Amino acid sequence: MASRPLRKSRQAQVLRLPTSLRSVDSRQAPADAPELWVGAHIQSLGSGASLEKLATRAQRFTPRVSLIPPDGLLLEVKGSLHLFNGIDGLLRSFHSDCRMLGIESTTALAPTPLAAQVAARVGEPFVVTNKAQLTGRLTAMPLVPLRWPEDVVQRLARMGVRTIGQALRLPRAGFARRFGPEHLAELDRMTGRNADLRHHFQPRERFRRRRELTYEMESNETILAALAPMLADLGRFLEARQVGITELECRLRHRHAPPSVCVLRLAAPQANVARLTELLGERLNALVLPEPVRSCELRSGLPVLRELSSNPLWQPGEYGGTAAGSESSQLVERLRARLGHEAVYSLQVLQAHRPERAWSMQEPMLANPRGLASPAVNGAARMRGTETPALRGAGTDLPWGSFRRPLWLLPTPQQLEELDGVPRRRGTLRFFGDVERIETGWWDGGEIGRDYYTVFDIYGVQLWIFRERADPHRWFLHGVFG
Amino acid sequence: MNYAELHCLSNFTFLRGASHPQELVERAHTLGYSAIAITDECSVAGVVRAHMAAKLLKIKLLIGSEFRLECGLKLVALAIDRRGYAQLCRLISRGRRAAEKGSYSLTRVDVTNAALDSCFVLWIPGNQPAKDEAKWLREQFGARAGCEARIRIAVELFRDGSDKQRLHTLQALGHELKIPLVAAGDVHMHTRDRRRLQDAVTAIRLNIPIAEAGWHLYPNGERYLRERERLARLYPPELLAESVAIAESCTFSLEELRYEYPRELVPDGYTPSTYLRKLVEEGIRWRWPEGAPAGTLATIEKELNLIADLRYEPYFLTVQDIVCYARSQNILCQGRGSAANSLVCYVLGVSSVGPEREAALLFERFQFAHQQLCRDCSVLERGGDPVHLLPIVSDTRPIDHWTAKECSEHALAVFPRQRV
Repeated sequence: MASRPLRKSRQAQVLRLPTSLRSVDSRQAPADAPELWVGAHIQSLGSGASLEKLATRAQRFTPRVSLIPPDGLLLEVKGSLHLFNGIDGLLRSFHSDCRMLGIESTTALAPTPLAAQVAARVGEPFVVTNKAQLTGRLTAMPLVPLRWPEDVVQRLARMGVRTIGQALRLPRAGFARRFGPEHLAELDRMTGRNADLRHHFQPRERFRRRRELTYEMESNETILAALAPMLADLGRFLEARQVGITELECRLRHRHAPPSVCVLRLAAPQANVARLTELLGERLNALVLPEPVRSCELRSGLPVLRELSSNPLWQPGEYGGTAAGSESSQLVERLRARLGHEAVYSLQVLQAHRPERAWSMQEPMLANPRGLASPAVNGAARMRGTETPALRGAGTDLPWGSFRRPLWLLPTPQQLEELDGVPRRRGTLRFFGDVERIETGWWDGGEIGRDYYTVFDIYGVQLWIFRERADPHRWFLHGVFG
Repeated sequence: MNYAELHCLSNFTFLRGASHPQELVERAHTLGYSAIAITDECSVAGVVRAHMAAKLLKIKLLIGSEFRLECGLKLVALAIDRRGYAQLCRLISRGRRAAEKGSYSLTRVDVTNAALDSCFVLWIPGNQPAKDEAKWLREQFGARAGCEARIRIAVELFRDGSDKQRLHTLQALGHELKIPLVAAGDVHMHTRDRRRLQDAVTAIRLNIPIAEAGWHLYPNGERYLRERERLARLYPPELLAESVAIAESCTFSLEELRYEYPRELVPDGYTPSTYLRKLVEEGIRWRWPEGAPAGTLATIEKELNLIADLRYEPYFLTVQDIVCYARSQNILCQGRGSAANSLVCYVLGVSSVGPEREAALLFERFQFAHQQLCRDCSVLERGGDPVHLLPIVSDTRPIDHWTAKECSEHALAVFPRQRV
């Protein structure tokens, strides 16, 4: 085993167990079982404790730790037994770790993970190191800890089969036919007849590096140059784990002033160091330093799995090559780095009749380029996929025949001058199309009752104007078509 | 310009319509409409109230119903005559029976089977009028030899910014397929101030907060009974005239309906009256083998005269028939309601309440009930499975003669149904 823990636990060294507690062969793993698994069944989790925390801590016993949510943990410990003073020593260390985390658990040791897990659920002392003894020790155990579906357990109980031993004695073909081959396979994995492969737990790590500078730095270029090796480290860190980050914090410490912090937030998980350096440079340019910098530190947010994809045959710009999907996301990130996080957003059409409320600002939806669509929508095609959450799943059919909205909507409608009841703006206006009456919004105090018209002014600009139904002689400009 | 509203939902289209049928009729009368149709969705439940109001105000009432088929096709059927009303009701029954209570399900095949040859059919096109729908409807209801086309395209304009475009599209479609156009209003309320109520019931129907209802609400309150001057500005005159022409062609009135009972209950050589008397006499001999008391006989005679006056013999024969069947199948049953308190019911075996219970007095309730236009005697089966009684409905009599209704878990009531 290549990555066996090398340090011997201090606890294990200090602990001296009375000989009576040791099993005969606890000092050495028996030769016949290739694996030995400790199954832990969590009975109660203390506040703040979680299965992941325990798993992270349990990695000091072995790198092969598997989670069985919500309440199980498996450790393959054969290679580590001698480091922890044998089985008893290891189990004691494990229990003391559990106690430190406020976790109550029962453990069992068996040559197969499933047997260890089931025995731990039963809760009685169970230490089997020899595969030949395993089936014999399992026979008396009830079937319930296997957590098979209720109806399967009940049907077996009606047949008088309540223990694992009784189930194992049933004819295999008949058992598979009656109760499903998956349950037979489970019994086989438990007794070691079939292999049982487990996913190993890998804790999520954050990247964190700090560097004391040899001299105080003031210019952004020198700071960025000082950050470069740390960023390169970050790149290797991310590449090794095939993950990306959506948040990166850069902390610059000064002699007196509190540290300057610049936080980079990314729309999509990013692992490209060049991109990160570029974006961090943009952020640093916007930062005003109160004093020279003495040390700098990089901290990443939680890493996120990156979607990996092959490079296209045609590069962007080449014949047949389309623009890379991430281009818009790069643009958004660059704009955000330069102008600030809040300055860049996308617009979304909402299903509402009031023009003022028919759109909203959104986080840029980079997976869906339509998220950048403007509220000026002239056809059904662009409306698809833009629904309010409450209406998701409802029909996306347009509510009425024509749906014509201007690209530019004034923040507040602007009153137009009028002559003999006819609105004017930089000259006479030419009416075009149908009147659209919108009367709605009575439930939240924002009731409107307006007749909207589309008009052309003398320069050929298409405007969206309305008059209040309650006061038909007052005209307002509400939008300009693009 | 005269106008008749041919597409109008009352609040009997639950959680869509926002006005009572009588309000709609009264408003149509005030506005000087030449007629108004009540076309609730797959229902004619609202027409009785509308009929009472229309009778009072002497405005013509058309009976119809709106249907949205499973394929999305939406149409309104208007009964031309009594036959058309029967076809309409049959289609409604078919749709309601095919779905859970409170909903309905109809396909194009159902519409074909229902014939509807005595109905006008208005096609209500969607936002994007589908030509295949119009073509299919033309095949079904288009002009034939000796029969004019009964299909119309309903043009409904609501000032939603696309009125001219919609009118133009439908005119082109009507011209191409040779289907006449007619103006209609998809009325949901009698005045525009019911808009809030209409919005509220829409949100209730969809079970979402009103602020989230968005496009499910109508953008404006134009679905009301509009003044004729407004309509004249909106629709070409020939479309308005066509609505009046259709209203004039529809001659059906609810006045033509009355209860009719299965005739096959009465054997040849008997009238319902003589047959009931025969059964009653047999029943007297069964109840009182030694001879009935004189007072009882007098009461029975009085009741028979009352029944004869009201021409209710078929009704009593019907109930007796059901009870006989239930007895023969060993289904425990017991008549109930005011008519069941009569001695006639006692001797027919419908009820077991004898004359000693002073029941005769209560029979007057039945007479009163008659004046209220409802029959109040039902047969209840107790302590058994309600499906046991259903076979008499399907085995011995055609199902259309009966409306069977489950009253509760263990009871089934059978009512005589309007025969149309």
